[in-house]
Amino acid sequence: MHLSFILPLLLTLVISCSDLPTSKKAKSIEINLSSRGNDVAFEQENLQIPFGQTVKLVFQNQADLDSEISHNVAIVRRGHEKAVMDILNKEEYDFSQTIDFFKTTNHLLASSKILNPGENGEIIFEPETPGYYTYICLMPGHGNILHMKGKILVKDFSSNLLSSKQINEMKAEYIRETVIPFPEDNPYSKAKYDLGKKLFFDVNLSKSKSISCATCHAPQKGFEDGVRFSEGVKGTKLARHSQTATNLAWGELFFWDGRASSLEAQAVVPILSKEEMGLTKKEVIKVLSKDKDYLEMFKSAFPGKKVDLDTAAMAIATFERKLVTKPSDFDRWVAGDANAISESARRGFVVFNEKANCAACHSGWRFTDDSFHDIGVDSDDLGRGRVHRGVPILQHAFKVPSLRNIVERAPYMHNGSKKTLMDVIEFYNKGGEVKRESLSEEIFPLNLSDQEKLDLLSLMKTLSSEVEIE
Amino acid sequence: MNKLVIILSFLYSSFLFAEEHQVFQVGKTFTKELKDSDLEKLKNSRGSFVKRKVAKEKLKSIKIKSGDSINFYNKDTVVHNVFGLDFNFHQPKDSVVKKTFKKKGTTIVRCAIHPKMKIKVIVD
Repeated sequence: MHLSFILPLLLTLVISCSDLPTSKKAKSIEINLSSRGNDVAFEQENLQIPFGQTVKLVFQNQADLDSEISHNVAIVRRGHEKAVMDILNKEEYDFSQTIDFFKTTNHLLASSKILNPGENGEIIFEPETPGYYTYICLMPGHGNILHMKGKILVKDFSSNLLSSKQINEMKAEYIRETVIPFPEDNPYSKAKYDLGKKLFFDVNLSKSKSISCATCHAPQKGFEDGVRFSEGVKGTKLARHSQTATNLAWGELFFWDGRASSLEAQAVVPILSKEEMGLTKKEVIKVLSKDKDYLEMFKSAFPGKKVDLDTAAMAIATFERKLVTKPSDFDRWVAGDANAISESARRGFVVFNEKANCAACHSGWRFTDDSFHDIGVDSDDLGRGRVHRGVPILQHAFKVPSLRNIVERAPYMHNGSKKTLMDVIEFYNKGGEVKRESLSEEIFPLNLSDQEKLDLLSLMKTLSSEVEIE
Repeated sequence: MNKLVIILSFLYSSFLFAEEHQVFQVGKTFTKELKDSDLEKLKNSRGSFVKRKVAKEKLKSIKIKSGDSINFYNKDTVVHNVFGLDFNFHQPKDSVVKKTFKKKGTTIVRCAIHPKMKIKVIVD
């Protein structure tokens, strides 16, 4: 073979080989960590990062400048946690001697110098395997006695690692329930449903005769109303964003703060609220007893019972329990139609369950586990904290909303502060906007790529379907 | 004297014979006591396996005697908070809280964070 032919070929090989490793090494990630004011604690105790990247951890000592509280941050090699604690728990402890000693061992992946109040320091390390890594302050007593430490979950998110069996197991979590549960003390009847439907759409149940339940829970808007805050009879804006009235037969506690324990208990609250529909009990009964249609409907729905708020609530609850979103593209995919959703949405499903940690709470076919969490929305509203005043973790906590028909249900959050779903995804990607003591440990910066964000959005779009009203 | 002993032991029988019951919290559900090997398996698997296993071990209600206690073990991957009419316990992961039930009757114990996690405690 002629040399002039081989040489360029060899050169290309050399170039392409040297190209690969550098582009891999360039993959790095920066995470920020700080101490919690003058407390001997890290502000963040749970972090999550993708595997396969060099990590630059920037730590800031946020103690007051005159506090003399110095810190350090070190990353413990996996499996060496006990060895490190044993060294820290020795009776005589000198920081610089200990650091020197650690240098003779392989217990730490990285360690910073002493950082005085207000100082920043960074450490760089490469996680060796996926899994949990402990970060700890090695100052005397900080890490070992006062537990100034936290965990970084290094997770391998390359979706090709998931077998089709694993994806099928994940899909099985989302199989729809087909039988609507009705409570024993308020079983279904068509007469109750019809009465409940009439009540739900009746503007006469408001002082101004202009507002019905459906005003703020409008069928064409995912049973919400599309605005940040609904307006009540007085023209004042309510404190929280309207919530969908669909798929509530499977719900547990109702309202954003869970203060109502049943749909029956929830149904009449807005009618009697001065800010919302503004009627008194007497006025409601008067409206219902004056109407011939209502009298007949109550008679057939509740034979022998009075026309009152209890029976009205039972009827509205019966109607609401039948407001079930029909199967969407997502359900067809879960049921076995491989092409019912796009490739992007299929990737989004894995991101939803894994890297983005959405399924920690938005789980099951309704995409909620009905739990309450502070996700770090910038708002003074205490939410469930007003129901459980003494429970720190429930301050600023709100109900996890279902994600069915979520595209139609903008704006988002309890205060409607996020206009688009992409705003919501960016919010979670940052790990929320306010860090408080009550912040859920399921909330942390996600480091999603632009493609992963779009994939999540694609998944959300597969959750739309109609709700049939008989 | 003998009589006194009998009377005393009768009076304190609820203390002498008070039992401790074990209730686990796994998969955001109250369950029966589970073996360590099962718990390890649950933590490392996802999806339907967890659902099936937890559904099988789910405890909807528990019957105890007045004076008995229940140890609630948080064996979950998340924080819980059990509460009833007169108590409220924060439960970090891998923690256990003990509640003694004296008043007879039926009461509901729930997690204030995950309300679907509830158990009926029947005190006899």
